[in-house]
Amino acid sequence: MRSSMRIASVSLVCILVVCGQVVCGGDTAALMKTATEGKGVARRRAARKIIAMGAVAKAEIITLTEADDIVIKRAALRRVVDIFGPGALPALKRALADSSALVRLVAAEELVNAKPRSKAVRGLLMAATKDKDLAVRQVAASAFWSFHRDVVPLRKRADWDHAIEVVARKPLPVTGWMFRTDPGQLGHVDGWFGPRLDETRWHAIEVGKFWHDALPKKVGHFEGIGWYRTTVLFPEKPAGEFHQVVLHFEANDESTWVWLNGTYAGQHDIGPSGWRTPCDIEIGPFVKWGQPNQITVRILNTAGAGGIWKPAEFQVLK
Amino acid sequence: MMLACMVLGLSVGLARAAERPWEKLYTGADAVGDKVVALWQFQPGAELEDRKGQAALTLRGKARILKDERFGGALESFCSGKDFDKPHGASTQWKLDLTPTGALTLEAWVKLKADPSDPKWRSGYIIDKMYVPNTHESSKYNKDYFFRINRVASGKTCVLHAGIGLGAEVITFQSQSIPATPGIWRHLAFTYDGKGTGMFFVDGDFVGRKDYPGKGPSVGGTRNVALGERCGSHHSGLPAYLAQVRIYAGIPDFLSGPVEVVVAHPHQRTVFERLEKGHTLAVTVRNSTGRTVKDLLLDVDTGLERIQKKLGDFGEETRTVSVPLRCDGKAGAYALTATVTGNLGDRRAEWRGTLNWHLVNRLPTFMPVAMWGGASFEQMEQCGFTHSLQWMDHVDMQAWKAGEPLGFIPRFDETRTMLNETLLRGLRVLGKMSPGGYFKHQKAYAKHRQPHLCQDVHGKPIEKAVDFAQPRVQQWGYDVGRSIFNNVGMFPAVDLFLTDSEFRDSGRVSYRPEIRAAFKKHAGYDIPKLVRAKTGVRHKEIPNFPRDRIVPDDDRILTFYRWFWGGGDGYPGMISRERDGVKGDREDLHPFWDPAVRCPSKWGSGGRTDIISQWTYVYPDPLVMGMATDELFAMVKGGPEYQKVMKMTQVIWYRSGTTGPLPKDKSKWTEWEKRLPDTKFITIPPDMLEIALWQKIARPIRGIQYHGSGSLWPSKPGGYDYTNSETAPRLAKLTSTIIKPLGPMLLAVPDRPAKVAMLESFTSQMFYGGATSGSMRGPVGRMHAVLYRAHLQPEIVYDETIQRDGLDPFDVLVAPYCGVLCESVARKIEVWQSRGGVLVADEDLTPRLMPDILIEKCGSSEKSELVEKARALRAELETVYTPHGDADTPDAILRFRKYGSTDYLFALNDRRTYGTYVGQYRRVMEKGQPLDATLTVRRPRGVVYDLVAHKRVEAQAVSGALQIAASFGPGEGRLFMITDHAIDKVSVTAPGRVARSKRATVEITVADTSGVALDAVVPLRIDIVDAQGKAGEFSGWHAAKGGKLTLNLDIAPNDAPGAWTVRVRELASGKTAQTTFSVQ
Repeated sequence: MRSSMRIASVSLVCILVVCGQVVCGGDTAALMKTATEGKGVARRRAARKIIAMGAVAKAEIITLTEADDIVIKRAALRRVVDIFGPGALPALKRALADSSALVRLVAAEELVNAKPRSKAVRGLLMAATKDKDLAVRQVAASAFWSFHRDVVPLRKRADWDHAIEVVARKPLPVTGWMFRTDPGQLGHVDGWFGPRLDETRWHAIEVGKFWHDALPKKVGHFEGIGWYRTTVLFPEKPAGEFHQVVLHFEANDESTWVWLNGTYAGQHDIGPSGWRTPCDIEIGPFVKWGQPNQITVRILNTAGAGGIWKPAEFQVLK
Repeated sequence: MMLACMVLGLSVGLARAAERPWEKLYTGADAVGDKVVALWQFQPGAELEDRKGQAALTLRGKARILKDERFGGALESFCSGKDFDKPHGASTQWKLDLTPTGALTLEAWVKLKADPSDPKWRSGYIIDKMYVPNTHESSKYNKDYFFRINRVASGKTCVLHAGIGLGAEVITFQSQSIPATPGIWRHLAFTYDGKGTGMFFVDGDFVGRKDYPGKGPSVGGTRNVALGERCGSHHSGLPAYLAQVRIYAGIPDFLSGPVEVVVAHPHQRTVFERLEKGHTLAVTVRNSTGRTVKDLLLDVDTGLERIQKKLGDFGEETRTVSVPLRCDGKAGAYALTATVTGNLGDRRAEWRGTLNWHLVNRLPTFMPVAMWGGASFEQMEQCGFTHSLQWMDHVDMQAWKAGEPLGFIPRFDETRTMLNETLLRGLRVLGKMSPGGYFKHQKAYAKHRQPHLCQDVHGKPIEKAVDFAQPRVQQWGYDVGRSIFNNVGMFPAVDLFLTDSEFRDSGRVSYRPEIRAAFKKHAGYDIPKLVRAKTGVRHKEIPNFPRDRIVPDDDRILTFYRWFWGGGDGYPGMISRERDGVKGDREDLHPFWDPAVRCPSKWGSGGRTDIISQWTYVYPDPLVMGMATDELFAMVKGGPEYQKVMKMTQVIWYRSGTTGPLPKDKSKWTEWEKRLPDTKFITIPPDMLEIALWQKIARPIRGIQYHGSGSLWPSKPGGYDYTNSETAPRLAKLTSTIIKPLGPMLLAVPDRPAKVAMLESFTSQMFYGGATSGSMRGPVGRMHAVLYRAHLQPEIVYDETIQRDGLDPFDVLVAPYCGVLCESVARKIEVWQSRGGVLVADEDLTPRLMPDILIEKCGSSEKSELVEKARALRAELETVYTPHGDADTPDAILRFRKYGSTDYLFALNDRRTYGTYVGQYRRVMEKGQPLDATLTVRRPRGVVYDLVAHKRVEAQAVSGALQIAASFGPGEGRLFMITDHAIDKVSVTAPGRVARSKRATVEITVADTSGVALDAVVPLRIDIVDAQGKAGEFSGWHAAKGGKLTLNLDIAPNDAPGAWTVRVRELASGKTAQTTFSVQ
């Protein structure tokens, strides 16, 4: 095996598990030297062996959380959480400030998994929801977000090797929408997606343009979360075969979450680049055919103008 | 080519020429005897009289009686038409007794008009007493008889058509085609024996027969008899003159039939490969003369031998004699003649049947290049296709209703004719069946599928979602396959057969009670509640999911999905049963299934088919072709031992996936956009087609396929459109210069064992997502392209591969998007890593594992991003792994295969840019560019041959490796054979003399400089020239495995004696050899 490999010479550490205790043999110091001063794969191999030692090498592992190698740092950080539990919070806090998004991502994941979710943990997660990296933000936000539905839109299905035809469509109206900003980001907690919500404090808005342009400056010039609501009469169910029913947005600036008749339908959340990307939200199971359907759209905008700024359609796809 | 002469049963009617009583006006008993039912002779003074006195005629419309020189009088009738939609014949009264109770004969002299009032007339009645000429739901219409002429559109020929009403049904009869010459009197007669047999005669000559065994006499009705028109209708008048029309109770002696001799192969084969065994022909002799033929002798000359059999005295009977058919003759056309002679009365008479048949040479081993679609023979030959697709499943509904396989049925007659011609041309057919697809989608099955639908979690049937695990449905899959086999399985031209294709896409999780019970029997518990969709349950939705994202091997959700995708959904079982049915006992017929990897990475998707395949669109990154092919090889590792891989390229491209909205400025539209502004499917550009091909053949596939014939050749707009005229010529060039010459070698060279593996984890796909389904839209597929651009040649492994075979063969494991793993796989990776294995992963890797190298997942298929990651990966691997082959540019894509000590290096040029075909939309770089590259092979020595240029090329030894300078044209590939020793010579030996019917064994050796056969598979061109200068059997391309090839030439008994020559040229360096032997 591995005839063509050139493995750097590393002092082997023999780890024997006896009656639940980890007994380390060999030269941990030498390993640590390689793990901190070595290069590339050899360095990571050494670090992996130290990290595998667990609590008996906790000092070394904490040191490794400061390593300048992202792979080592990530693995060490996770092991610190294993070893110290809630005591790992300072390390996670430090990691959330790391220059590498990949390290911050690990920290965010571990914070989401942390139990109990103390005030300190919540604070760190809340801070992470504002991270500059989308993946970190998404992971952190998931801690405060109980809505999730994984349905791959037909237009995105890797296994769908057929032409997609729109067999029925109805443009969503430009007018008749109500809008409200959500500076506290708690609209979802307060049930702003409910089908029978009191909308007296909401503003009438047109879609097909940025909220920046559609609302008075006092209301519309903001970055953050805005909610749209409307009710649309959907057509009767088509007679022929079809495969998906979607709300098709030509572009929402930036991220989108949708409820239909009070039920969460799905999201399109790919970060700032989503501002001009078409998206489909699959709504088939929740549609009331031939009846009024209440639609709620939550939009997150992090820069500039935001909102449902291009046309949207109800579509039946085959 | 004349295949239509498969069965010729025309007698040579020598027996009865003496009596021709119908040529004169009937008199005496012929006119008024007991057996005469009615006779109209249209004589002056008795123009409308029935000689029997009971059925006088009334003229209708323009019909009239004319004097006639030959018969004295004749009835002139007319066809109907737009301006003359009226009856124009003659009619009797109703309720006359004009239908005999047993045998009957309808006869008339008929002279067609040269200038009918409707020149396009198609059907005209001579005699009619039926009205509705086929079985009617009301039995009152199914009575009496009709006799008419049906003229073909050209007007040059016609057939006689007759019907007999039996009460419950109408049985119909049709003659052979006969001339429809106007202006000539013809005596036309139809006889019915009252027992199901009807015969036609023209001027006394037999022109056709049909039998309905077990049927009875005509049932009389009340309708009138109409002459020259149809009774009860204005249509179908006959534009002709009629004379001496007679209805006769019985069959007159002068209209008795011949002795028919019919020769047929039991399966309608007329073309055979040399040395096929066990064929017999059925010679059927039927005596319809009404008399005993004495001392009947059958003499069959097959063209290769003569066989005689005494049949003795032969009454009115039918006998079938089996005659063996030798297939050891030389290739060519043969005419079989079966002659029977016997004594009829006091004269010796002779009748004959013939069969034209062919022997064709057996083909050398070849690489199939199949058009997964329709193609004419000419198109196939032009592009080098070996196979075209033929739909053969039009028996699905019949088989469903029958509940068992169907036997030999006429419905396949045209297909069998086509298969004979295909074999004659040295081509093959890819059969196609799709009962499963029909069952899901066709209206005809709406009621039948209802009891077999999947059910949702509440037990409600899901529309059109068939549960293919149902035994009745799977049995039907077998029945359809076997029905097809029973009809075409004996044709060697069919050697590939596609089972249901694509129908697994819309499969669903079914909660039918028996499905739940089946899973419970498998697992010990019910389908887990979190399971809803077939694509898995995301770990975020599972409460208390392990923090390290490692699930136990017996996790209930994972257990369910393993069961479901491993065959619990019924699809692999369905295609396996289709395979069992259609394969029959044919070792050389290979059923296959595609797209086999459009599913999660779980063994079993191909069921038990002989071959699995996948279709692939090679955009935006053409390296997707290699990935999908590697996935197929990963899949067959868990299939039956015999299962192999073929690979298909889509000739069509989705316009929506490769272009964008048309520019407003029409002047910027391309030629095809102007011509086909609304097209949905366009033609793959030639450079991408070639890049795809090289990736396929760089792997040990067993066949090549293309789909989308409409985009390859000019076609009717609106479907697959023809938008690139350079693609078909490129394909033709590639098949003629690469695939055909090198095909036998490509089939014989194994893969080079990989040192790098890429994990496509089923566990991760079910809990974390990321299944590729054969495409490169996600991080897993893109990572594969990174690895090839890093020249790493990975083997794709599944969880199951690691669980069964471990990771010891590999130095590097790449685990893209493996966010969740099962315990056993994670443990094996850990152990392997502890032994020095290098784990490469992206940021999604399960927290349990620490990668040795982290490569961030690819966010797009942008080539620049993939190249950048490839460079980063190679830099990280620098100290721990060096691949066997390398190139100084990521645009050179390399792949090795290996035989013994010989390397086969496939190198292709992936340097591309945005062209003007679709590139202007900046979605696909479809235009290849030239490339100069230095290729490195890490072997200390070797001799390098360019198998495309058929010459040795220079290689530099640098630091223990070989370096090859290679120049590529746009999209081009190269195949280098790198041997330890140089080819020194080629030798060929044959026995000096060989007798006809004996075998000549020819030995070919490609030797190296030490005189030993080369340790390689060497491509060869062999030309065998017989004594007449014609190409002999097995002339073509071959491969010398281990430097040797033995050819057994079976000399035919009818081969011309003289000197035969065998010329050999090896295709590595072009060395040649030649020998001759004498055929005696």
